[in-house]
Amino acid sequence: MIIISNRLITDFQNGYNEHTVQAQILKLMMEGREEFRYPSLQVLEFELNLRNLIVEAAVKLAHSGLRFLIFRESVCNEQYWQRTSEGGFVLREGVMPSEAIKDIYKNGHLYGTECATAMVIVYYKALLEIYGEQLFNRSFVRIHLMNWHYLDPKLREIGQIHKTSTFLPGDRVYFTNPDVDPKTPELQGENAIDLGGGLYYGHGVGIARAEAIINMLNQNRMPGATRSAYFMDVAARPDFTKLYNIMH
Amino acid sequence: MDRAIYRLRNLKERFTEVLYRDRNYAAQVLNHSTVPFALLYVSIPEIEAYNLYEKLNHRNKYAYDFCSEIAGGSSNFKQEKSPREKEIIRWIFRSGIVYDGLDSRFDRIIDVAAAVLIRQFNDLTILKPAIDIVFRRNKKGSFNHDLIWAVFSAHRPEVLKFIAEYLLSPDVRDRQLACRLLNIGFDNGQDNRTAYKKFISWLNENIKYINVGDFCQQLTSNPATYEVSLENKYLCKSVSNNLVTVDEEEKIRQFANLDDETKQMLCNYSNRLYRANRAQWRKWISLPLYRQIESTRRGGYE
Repeated sequence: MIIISNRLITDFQNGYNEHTVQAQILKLMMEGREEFRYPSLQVLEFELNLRNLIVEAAVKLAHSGLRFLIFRESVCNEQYWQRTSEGGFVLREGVMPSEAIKDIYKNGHLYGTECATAMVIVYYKALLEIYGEQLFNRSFVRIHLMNWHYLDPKLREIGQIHKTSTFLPGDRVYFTNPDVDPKTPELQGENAIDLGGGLYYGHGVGIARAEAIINMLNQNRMPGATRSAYFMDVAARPDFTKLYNIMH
Repeated sequence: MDRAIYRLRNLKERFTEVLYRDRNYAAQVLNHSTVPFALLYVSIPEIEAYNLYEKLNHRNKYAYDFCSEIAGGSSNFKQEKSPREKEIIRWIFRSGIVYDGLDSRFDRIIDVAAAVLIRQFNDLTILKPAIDIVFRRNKKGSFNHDLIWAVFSAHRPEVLKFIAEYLLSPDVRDRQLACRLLNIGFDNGQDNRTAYKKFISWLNENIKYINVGDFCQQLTSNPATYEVSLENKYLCKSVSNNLVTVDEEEKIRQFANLDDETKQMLCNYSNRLYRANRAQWRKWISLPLYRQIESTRRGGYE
């Protein structure tokens, strides 16, 4: 259910075509048991648009050529990023943050990392689209890409998971693999962006249905494993109000 | 250069000299029981170039295959859960950690060996050295997430104890990491000993009732690592003991309906009484729940 300024919204008139991601999200929000609270209609609209851009950024990243590589073997375009000894990427001094994020999408084949870092890249790209270059570059002067570590305080919430029963396009979700083969710890789970319509983007598996992701994880379990990989009932969401306030 | 790695380079040079003179003798050198895994690892190019694989003993063949499997190439590696294989993986880990930092592939092998020993062989003897490596790598700024994941996957409270020892470290990086892994706030101004004593005292009181979870940094920036099972603490029953009587089951059911504050009050009192006077505790725990609450609120059971 949607609550704006403490009022339950039962009939939301919106201009979104019913096939858009925004319309899908609204429908799920209205029908779900979870409360989605907003201080104003503008914040809700901002969230809908940013979620749509997260979905778009995820689909584009899936087609960017970005490789799946473990942190120890991670690679990046050294013109824009500096690889750390841990395997993360730090924005090079003097490089525009917007240019560095765009380069990952343009020259994906020059980059390789694990699934969580790919999620962080998706969020940055979506924010770049909604903020525009100037505001984005002012807001994210330093970027350190490495799973949920070293997150910018403005994006801290994307590293925090919460139980939910209403999954929305643009959510970051997780498939866990409790009996993972110890030889492939990178497959202890798969981070994914909910794209809507039962599809997910997970770095390494691409765009797939939940069953395909679970099958891939199950193929990487230890001998004698008894537990299947499964979709966790948790989601991570940016603090949309905080991100909205940066724009206004 | 690290002293151990410098010694390894010397060893490798001597091995290569032997290899140029006598291939059979070189294989015997590698097969010697005192040879560290790292020498086998750095000799892989020579093993392949001089076709030494068939001359290796079982330990070395298995270790070689283990490395190939992790490297992702074609390998003869067959995972077995026998004591013999466990000893080989333990050799890889135990003799290998001295050379941690040799190169990233080597470090990955060490991490995988630790994970196999903990997750498949339930070998808890390596927890302490594995945690030491985690902290050593932290100071060097090298990757330690997989090793952290491996040690927590033992799901043992001893892990917390070993980590807590780093709260006493004079190095701030150690104390910071220890606080993060133990999920306690870091305060640079705090006296090391006080922080350590406080944590250890809490741990000793609750050790039997702690469930240690996974530390999955892939999932979240703040992995929940451990929690006290209030039900177990209330019944003074270790989490490792899964057998529950019908009576206990009923008590747990009633206990579950209480608010958090009352739960906490009851389990703290139950635990204190259990340690102070076992006979009194038996009488107290057999009381109906409302009377347990009454007596605890009054300040104790007479």
